[in-house]
Amino acid sequence: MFYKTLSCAVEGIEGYIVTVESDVAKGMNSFATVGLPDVTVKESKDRIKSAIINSDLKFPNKKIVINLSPSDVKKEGSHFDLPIALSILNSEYNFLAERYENTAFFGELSLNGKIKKVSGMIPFMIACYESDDIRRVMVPVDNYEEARVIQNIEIIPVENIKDVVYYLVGRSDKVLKVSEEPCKKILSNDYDFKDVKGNLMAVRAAEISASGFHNFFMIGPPGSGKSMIAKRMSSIMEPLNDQEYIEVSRIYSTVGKFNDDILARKRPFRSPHHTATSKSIIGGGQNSTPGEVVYSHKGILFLDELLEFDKKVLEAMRQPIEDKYVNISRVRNSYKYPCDFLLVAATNPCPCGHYLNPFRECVCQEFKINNYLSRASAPFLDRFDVFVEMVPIEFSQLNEINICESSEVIRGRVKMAIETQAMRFSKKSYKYNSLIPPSEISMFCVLTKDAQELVEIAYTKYNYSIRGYHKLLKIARTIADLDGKDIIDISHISEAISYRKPLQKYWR
Amino acid sequence: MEELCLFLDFLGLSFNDTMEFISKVEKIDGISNLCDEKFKELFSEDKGRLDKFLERRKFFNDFKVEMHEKEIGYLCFFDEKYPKKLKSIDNPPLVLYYKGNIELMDTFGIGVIGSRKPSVYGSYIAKDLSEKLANAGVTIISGMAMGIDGIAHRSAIDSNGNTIAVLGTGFNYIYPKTNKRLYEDILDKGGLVISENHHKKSILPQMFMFRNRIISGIGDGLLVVEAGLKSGTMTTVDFGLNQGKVIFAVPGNINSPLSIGTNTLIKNGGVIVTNVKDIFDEFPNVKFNDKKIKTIDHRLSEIELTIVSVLKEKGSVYIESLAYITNINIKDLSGVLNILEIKGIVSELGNKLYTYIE
Repeated sequence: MFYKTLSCAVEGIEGYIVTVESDVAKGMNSFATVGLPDVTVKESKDRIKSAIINSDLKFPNKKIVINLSPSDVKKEGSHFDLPIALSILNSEYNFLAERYENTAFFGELSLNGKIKKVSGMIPFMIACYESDDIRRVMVPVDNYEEARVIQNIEIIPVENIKDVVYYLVGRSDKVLKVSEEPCKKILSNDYDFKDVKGNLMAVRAAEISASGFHNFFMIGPPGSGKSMIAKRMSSIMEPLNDQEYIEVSRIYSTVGKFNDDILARKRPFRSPHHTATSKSIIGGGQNSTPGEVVYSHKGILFLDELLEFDKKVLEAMRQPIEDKYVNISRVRNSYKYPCDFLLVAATNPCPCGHYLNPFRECVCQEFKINNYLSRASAPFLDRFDVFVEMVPIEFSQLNEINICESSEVIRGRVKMAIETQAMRFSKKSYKYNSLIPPSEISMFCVLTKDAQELVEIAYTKYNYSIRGYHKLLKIARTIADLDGKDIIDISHISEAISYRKPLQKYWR
Repeated sequence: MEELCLFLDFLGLSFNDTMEFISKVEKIDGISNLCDEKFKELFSEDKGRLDKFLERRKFFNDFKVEMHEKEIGYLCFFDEKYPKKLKSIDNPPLVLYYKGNIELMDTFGIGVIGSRKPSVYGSYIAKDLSEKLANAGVTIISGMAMGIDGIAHRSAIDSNGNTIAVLGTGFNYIYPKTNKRLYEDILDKGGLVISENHHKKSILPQMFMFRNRIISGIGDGLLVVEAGLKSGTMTTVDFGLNQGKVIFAVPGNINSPLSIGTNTLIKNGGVIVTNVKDIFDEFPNVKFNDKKIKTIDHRLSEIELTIVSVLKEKGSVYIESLAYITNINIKDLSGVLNILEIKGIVSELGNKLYTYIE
């Protein structure tokens, strides 16, 4: 007899529908899986048999052939256990059509019949949502919250195979009781800007950077608070909106790294170690798995000790930063991943770390400092908008300082600036000031007369390039947005100048 | 005669050897008359040197053409135009190669020297004093190295003053590479670049130290901005002392390793410089331009006045401290400081340390 069950597989981060076909026929007792299954899928037959028998269900002693269709694409993942098992059991138990058909099943079986968590839930859900055939999905209970990211589709959480079979044959009406309340995870931040003492300039720069999605560069001696500020950046950013939430969850779900932070719509914060290879940063490997740039999609990618990174890795990042997507092609396949992130970098100014430190002497030779700084190429530095120089605070100041704002206050301003931008760019393909193309700068960055004069003076005094000049205007635009002004005035421009100065100081 | 000197320098003869050689061939003018037989006669006892002579003669013409192409001029020791200041020093360069305005050699000049890796303070002082000296018509002489040297040249150019760079290398290699732009700017703005080494000469580390005697030699005084106790700067000072030059030194923090050299100089009788006038006073016979930079009376806003008054009172203040003292929000503060800097009322010493300038 021929039976079929619906499920999904994933390619890159795109899910597609897979039909699990089974033929249970008279003949020698055997079990074969065809349709390009990989090892995890092939192994499933032993798990399935044990799980069915250990759940006091009947396993047909017949000749069983399983086909995963479409059969010309390699399929992997342990989530096929449940659909395969059900496809076999259908021959013994005659499932109710209204419960069995138009349903997609996912779940890994444990030998005792328990259904365990699987990875890739969200791409599956998206595929199911887009398909006309599927009206409900049955997912492991541990994946329930994750699956609920996609709404408007019936989700049935399940815990073990026995319950599933009873439900499908009509012996019980409800598999598992779960609360249908929308899940409310409260966004909690372990890090808050109120802990940052001093470094007012850097905190302000972080605010500007988060508001306009300007890539952010900090340079300064060790212990001046660079990492501290970077770690707090996500606390002043708005939570992920609905669309971003789906995009981010999809990436994390594909690799089985979906977590509570994402559920709370917190923006990802990734900080790879500086020994990272280009494979781990960009992506690659046999299966073209995504790298850190993809994991930081819609969040922050923090490169601490930027100049210690392999130069090749840094150069490889130029394209993803610019295009906001990355194509990973390997022998077997080629996938396109999104990677729209805010780049935050921190570095020491020289190998010993104290070059230009007012409190300590630098012991590096001149050419070593130059070599060190030149590890970041000019085109790479061009990817950054906001530069800030960190100064360690004097001990005597440590206890005096009491001007610090909490992340919540800053987030309020950032939110306003982001809303202003959303309104301004409602008809455009981009959403942030940092992405205004050169041709449209004059349209969006309108200056007062005073500001115009100052820009002209600054242009000659600081020897800006055209690109540098555009960046200056974009930063000023964000500063004006934070100030709630439509037209950029002199104070906005003059503040923006501060965030371009360190670039010239260190790399001229 | 000039060509002979040039040739001898091309051969790599030392000053004393050249003098000896020239005394032997006194009556010969022009290398064309110096045929191979004559050489053989002169160097009959030194076979090795003779061979070298004969071999290098082949390349000499190319060398001259190349010099012409690169617009490198030269002055030999016997030349009338050879700077008088250099004639009197020990071991003067036999041939002085130059590019740019050679007239500057005879102007009144001060050598501005100091650490290659100056502190924020040193950089600022070097800039400030060089600008003021250049504005007064003094030629700024330095070695076009990193740090103080570069700052001194740059400030002189920026204030449209005269400057002479003394290279440690030949004209083919500009060292350090990062000063290539500076080198071009010096030449563009009517400055002078000199070297005692021809452009084909390979670079040796000692050449840099050796050229320091020229820096001190062509300067009428030597201004030491910042120096460690044992440093290249101090060798220049030693040369200067031997040549009888006035040594000026800028005092510094007694804890700063970069000021030990200058502070020691002051202790041992160097002229202390806290103001550019201290330098002028040492040369009563020289007329300095009394060109005062016009201070434009900027009308300052209230917030600007507050900042300026704090800076006036405290000397130099970090932006963070300014924020605490004045209670002005950092976003306004950094902007106002930038405007004040452009107006020329305050200056950033580096690392967001701001100071008021008169």
